[in-house]
Amino acid sequence: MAPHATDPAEYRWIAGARAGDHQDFSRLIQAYQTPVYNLCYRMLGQREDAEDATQETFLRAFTHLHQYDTNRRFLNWILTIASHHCIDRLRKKQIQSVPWEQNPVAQSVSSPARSPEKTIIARQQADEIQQWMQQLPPDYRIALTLLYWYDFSYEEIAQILQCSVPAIKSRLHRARRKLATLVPPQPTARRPFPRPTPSR
Amino acid sequence: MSNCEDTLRQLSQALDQNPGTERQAHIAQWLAQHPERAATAQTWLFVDDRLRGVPLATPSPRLADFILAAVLRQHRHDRRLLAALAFVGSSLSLVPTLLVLLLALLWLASRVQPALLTTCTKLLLDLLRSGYTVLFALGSLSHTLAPWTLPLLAIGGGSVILLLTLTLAHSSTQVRAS
Repeated sequence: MAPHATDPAEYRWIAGARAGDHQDFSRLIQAYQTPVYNLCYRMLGQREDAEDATQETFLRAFTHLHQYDTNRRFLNWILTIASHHCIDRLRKKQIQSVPWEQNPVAQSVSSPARSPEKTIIARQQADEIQQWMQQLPPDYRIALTLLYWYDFSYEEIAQILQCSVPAIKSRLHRARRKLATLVPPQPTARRPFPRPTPSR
Repeated sequence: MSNCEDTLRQLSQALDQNPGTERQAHIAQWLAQHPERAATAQTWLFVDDRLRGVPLATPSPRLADFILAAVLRQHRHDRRLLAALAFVGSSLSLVPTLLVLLLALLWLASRVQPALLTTCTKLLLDLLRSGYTVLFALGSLSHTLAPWTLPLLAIGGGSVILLLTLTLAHSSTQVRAS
């Protein structure tokens, strides 16, 4: 997991990178490449596009590092850059949905400790999720991604996407409604709703 | 609960935040009375579980190297641009200075001997031409030199040209006096 903003090492890296030290910026890349890449991948749906967007995000971060407010988590700041970049990219290219046959998602499941059978199931489920995600509008997709893959609160998501908390709640609600129409009916046993112990 | 839409919004939030025991009981009771909404809630639970089960997508192991290489390229490009701007700026700033000094020299020379005026003018023009040729040739080396080198060279080159001109004018004056 990427270090928190209170991590003294991270402060040193940021200060070093601001002073032009490429080694320190390289450490920041190592620490944050996976969360940035994951966001770009969830948004763009293709590995090549996601890597390209990740690179562009770090370039922008390097250029605007002097604008970074150290009171904020670095992860939130860089994900803000990545979010804006991905949404801009989608708007420019007007990629609303990617043909699934062209979409290699083998990299999305990275746990090496699973049995082959479990890995296949997990991969299928990940494929399915990505397929559903690609059918959502970018604004809903980014809100869901920040909620589920980064465990951000509504307030943090609102800060990253630079909008209000009610707007985020509304997007998540609409995203869930849309997802419910995409998911086939599940024959599983009924469970209590809401959960007795919500995950957040 | 005011209406169906509001309740659905609350269901959505209940997946993310603990609604509290009282609210939770209220939602459960409402769902028991609305089987269609209960089915929707079950689908949301299913999607919620699925989404939580998918790990972070990991990039290729070489991505960090590619990113760093791109950052370094960008940094070099910025330095070159800065050097070129500094060189052009400092060269341009020398032009008015040289013009003023040239006029002053010409005025001095015309006072000493009118014939010297023509010689000095030609010589000055030649020197300026040569000086700027050298400076622009150095400008093409901007990608190999540090950003502060070129402005210094431009100022140095300009100063040398001025000194030579002044020395020449001075020696010409002395020759005339003797």
